[in-house]
Amino acid sequence: MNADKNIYLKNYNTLLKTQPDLAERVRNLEVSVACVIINSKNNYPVLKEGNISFHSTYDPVKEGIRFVEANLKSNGSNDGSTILFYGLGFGYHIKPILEKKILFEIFEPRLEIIKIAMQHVDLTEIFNRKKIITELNYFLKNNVRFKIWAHQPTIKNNINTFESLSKIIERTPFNSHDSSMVLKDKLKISVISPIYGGSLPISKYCVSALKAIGHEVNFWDSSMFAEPFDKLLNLNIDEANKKVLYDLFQHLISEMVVASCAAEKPDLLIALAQAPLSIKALERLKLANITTAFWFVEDYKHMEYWKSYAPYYDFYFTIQKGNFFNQLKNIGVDNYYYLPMAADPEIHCKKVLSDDEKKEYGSSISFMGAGYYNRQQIFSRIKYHDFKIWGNSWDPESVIWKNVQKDGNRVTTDETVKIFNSSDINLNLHSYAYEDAINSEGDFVNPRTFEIASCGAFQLVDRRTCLKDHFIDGEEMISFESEEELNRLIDYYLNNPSEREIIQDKARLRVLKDHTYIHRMKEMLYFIKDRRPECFLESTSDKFTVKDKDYFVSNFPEVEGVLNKAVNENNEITIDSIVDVVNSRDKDLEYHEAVFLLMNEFKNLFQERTQ
Amino acid sequence: MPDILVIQLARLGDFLQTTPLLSGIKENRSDNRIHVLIDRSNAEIAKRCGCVDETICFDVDLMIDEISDRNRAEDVYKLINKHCSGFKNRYFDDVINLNYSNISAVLASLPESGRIYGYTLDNSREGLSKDSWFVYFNNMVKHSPLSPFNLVDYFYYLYCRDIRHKKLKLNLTYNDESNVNKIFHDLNIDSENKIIVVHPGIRHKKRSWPIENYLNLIFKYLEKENIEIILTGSAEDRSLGDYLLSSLSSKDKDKFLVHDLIGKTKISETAAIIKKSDLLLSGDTGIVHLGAAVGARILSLFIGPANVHNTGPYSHGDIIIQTVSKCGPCLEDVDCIGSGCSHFITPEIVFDVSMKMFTNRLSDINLPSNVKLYMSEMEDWGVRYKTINSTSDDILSLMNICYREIGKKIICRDYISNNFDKPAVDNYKISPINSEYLKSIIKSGRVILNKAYSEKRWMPEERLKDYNSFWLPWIDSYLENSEYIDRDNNDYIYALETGLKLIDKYSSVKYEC
Repeated sequence: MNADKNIYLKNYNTLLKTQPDLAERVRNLEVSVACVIINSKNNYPVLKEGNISFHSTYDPVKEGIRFVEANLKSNGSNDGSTILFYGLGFGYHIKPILEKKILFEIFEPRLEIIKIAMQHVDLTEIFNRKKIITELNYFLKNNVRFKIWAHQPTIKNNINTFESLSKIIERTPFNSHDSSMVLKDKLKISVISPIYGGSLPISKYCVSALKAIGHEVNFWDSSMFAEPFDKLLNLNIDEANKKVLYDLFQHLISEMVVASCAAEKPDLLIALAQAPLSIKALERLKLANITTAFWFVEDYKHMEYWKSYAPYYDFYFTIQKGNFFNQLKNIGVDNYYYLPMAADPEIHCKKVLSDDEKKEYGSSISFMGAGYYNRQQIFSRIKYHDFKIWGNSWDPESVIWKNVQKDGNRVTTDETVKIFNSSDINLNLHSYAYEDAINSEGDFVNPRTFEIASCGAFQLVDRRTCLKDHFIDGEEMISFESEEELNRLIDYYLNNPSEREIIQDKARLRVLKDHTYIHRMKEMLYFIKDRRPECFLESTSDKFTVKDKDYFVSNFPEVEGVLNKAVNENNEITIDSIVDVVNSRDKDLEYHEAVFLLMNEFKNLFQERTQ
Repeated sequence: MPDILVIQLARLGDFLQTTPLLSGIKENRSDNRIHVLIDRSNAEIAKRCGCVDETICFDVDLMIDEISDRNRAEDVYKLINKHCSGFKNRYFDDVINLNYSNISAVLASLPESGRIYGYTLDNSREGLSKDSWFVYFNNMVKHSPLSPFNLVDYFYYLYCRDIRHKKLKLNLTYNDESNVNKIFHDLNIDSENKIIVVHPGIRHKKRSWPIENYLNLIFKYLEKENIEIILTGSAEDRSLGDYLLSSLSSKDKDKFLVHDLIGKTKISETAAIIKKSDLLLSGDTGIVHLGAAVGARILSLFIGPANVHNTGPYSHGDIIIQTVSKCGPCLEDVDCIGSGCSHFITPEIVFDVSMKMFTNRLSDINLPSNVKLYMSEMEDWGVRYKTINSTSDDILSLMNICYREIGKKIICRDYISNNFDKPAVDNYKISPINSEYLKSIIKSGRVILNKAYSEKRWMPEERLKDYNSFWLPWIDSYLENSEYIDRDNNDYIYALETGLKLIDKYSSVKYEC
């Protein structure tokens, strides 16, 4: 059953009035849920995700009425509680309550469900009456007694969030005096880069974006090992032995990452494609209760290592969907999410170049990238002389070697931006390793597409199946699907600079609006928050629990005696157990003991304030 | 050269109320070096009180913010250690902690010291010191809505033992005053007009006077030809200023008689503005003490838990309008059980009082029974507040007078003129006969109170318990462990008898003692 554009617009416009922020988030959301919409027997749309149907496939409306009646009987709000619908679904189970004078709220943990529902059922009545709560934070801030009316299919698809919500509701000030749980605004995130390769700069862009949205980021830059790693690869030894050394090398780096995480205790670890993390390291991070996410910014068809590693990450972000999702499911990976590439406008920006730079980097046509087979072949047939090719892995024996700049050496990011800015037309041909062809079935868009656009430069890009999801073809982006079309477009746009300018400006604006790494990181964190909100939950008491006694004692030797005595029955050293030790002493307070007492007072104050 | 550390982490008003103690310490012995541990917001004022040798700032709010960024105990320890490092290896001869908080009690114990006065950790580190004189003083002011003693005197006598004329200290510089002259000039304020500073902001909700009342009062002032209004307040009070200004008619705005300086002046400039003005109108907040420190004419509105005897302006001749509620004494952190008493004070009353202050005809004022008018009066021992419309004295006020007299005499005779190091309770021997007599009077007093309050239904049972728990423990603690009393000294008996007679005289119900 296809989405109904009219219903979606009607819902969207209503939501825009009642919850503009949510409307905006929903609009920008790429729906990647593996779901189908089926028609119930009496012809109502019903969402089905995997084996779980969200409503009755016979009569969802009648089922909704029964849901409300049964809950009113067994779980009513006679005690002044507010009813909390856990799960919006398609709203059939909520609509009957609109006619009753009952206090209620609606919580839907997954934005994707809201978007799909908006595409298929009229929710305006609900939107006009109630704001949809999407964040657990709401329940921490509002001192309201809730009674949950749980929509079971929503729970089945997201049991973690339901458990967290139940805990929060039990522990809100209204229900208890325990105020030790708060939702963090600022996460502590470790980002692990690969040693080298295309995802190395992407890891840096992710770091900048995460910092820009207010998180504390610890960047583990594995490129510091690039030199010894190169040496290892170039050792003149047996390949089997080299593999052993390679594994040992990766193991060492992995251990360093784990040790760093043990000290830093990040809330979340994000690894980029080819980050040197071993399976053992991932297992230990899991044991240490550190949430891990992997952004696989590569083509799953060419890089198959994901099959071994993906099950060990808590979250798996991909630049492809469709069949890749099925394959991930087959190996037991559930928490996958489509997160396309992006640009960093701070780096990929418009630049004014000097004449010398224009001369060096500029040309009528350029290409920046590695010399994959299809590129070597197709570019060799381009007739223009003023065509510069930048990047490595180009064949010195081929006819286009004369176009290759810098003897085929890698170019820096700064040089790349200058190339984009000073070329009339930037060619952007996605790689196709074994075919002399343009792969129009390619199911991801490369970073270069976003980066050239972000620079406000003009590009001609081969038409990918998902390109239209990111740019309006013909307005914001010009694409081709054959060599003939490419040559025609080169001719046309070389002779129409003003049209180039209009398109490149629109492309840049689109990137700034929807396709920066800030957008991607926010989306990544939203998804993780939806699926694993406990990653964002902070217990105030954690701040006052000793995590690394040795580190503590090495900095403050005078505290050792107290800490040794303060290990409690849970084998923890908390400020409470420390204060017990301090208070049990008859002697005058020593300075460090007074500092502990002060810590205890601040703990109380902190809890008061956060409540 | 003795080093004395005074800990006062509370806000502007509390720090200003501490200044007589600071100057007293300095005047007692000029080589005393005074160090103050204060909230960062008071640093500017501390420099200007003329008796502080070192200012140490401690910012609790900042620390809470910083702690929120820390994720483990070792980092929190490091942070707190950094903030407290100034105390490590320091020695103070005396530490005086004026705050009733465990944080300040722990801070008081951080440096090495000869003796700690005020709130301090006891041996179990959990409670506060049980030093008997401290308990005595503490009981005097423990329940601020009932306390008959001004906080300034409490702070002062906690450490100083001489009776002297005291005054809040704040030195304004030539620059402050010339800045204000410029402000007045820029605002085109007519020096012939009466200038009234209106300070509508107040931190405690239950003590605040509705902003609509301030507005109606301003309308009344504007009807007069010769009054100009200056609005003052912190940046947090901005919305109040916006409300007042936006509610003025264009006609009133065109007169340019209301000048908005909310959030636009430093504390020293505000002080100079108040000094230069003819009247300061405010609730029970720090600005009142700022006014008292610069000798401004003050009209202050004491509402709900605000108790004039406890935190009224430390000055002579200033006026306080106090609400008197049947559901009182009002407690700060307890939800209002009545309908609120802020509406007892109407804009008409404030207008009338302020106009009569200008013409010195306050005795002409007729007020409803739920509002009382007080005037501050300095005596050698400290400040007290006498009612101007005395016929409206209630039992609470009379008992306040009575107990203030008793407390004053105990302090004067036993504390000030004798050895401080002897404990408060068993320093003196009271004759068994007189002791019994005193106890019986006190007992009668309690019966009277209980009866009066229960018959008049002035307060619910629970509140009565709170009330009784306050009334007598500080006298009890003095008497119950004593053996005999000096027969020639009838101070206590006199004070009690006076109090009871007053109660008898003014109460509508007659009681037997």
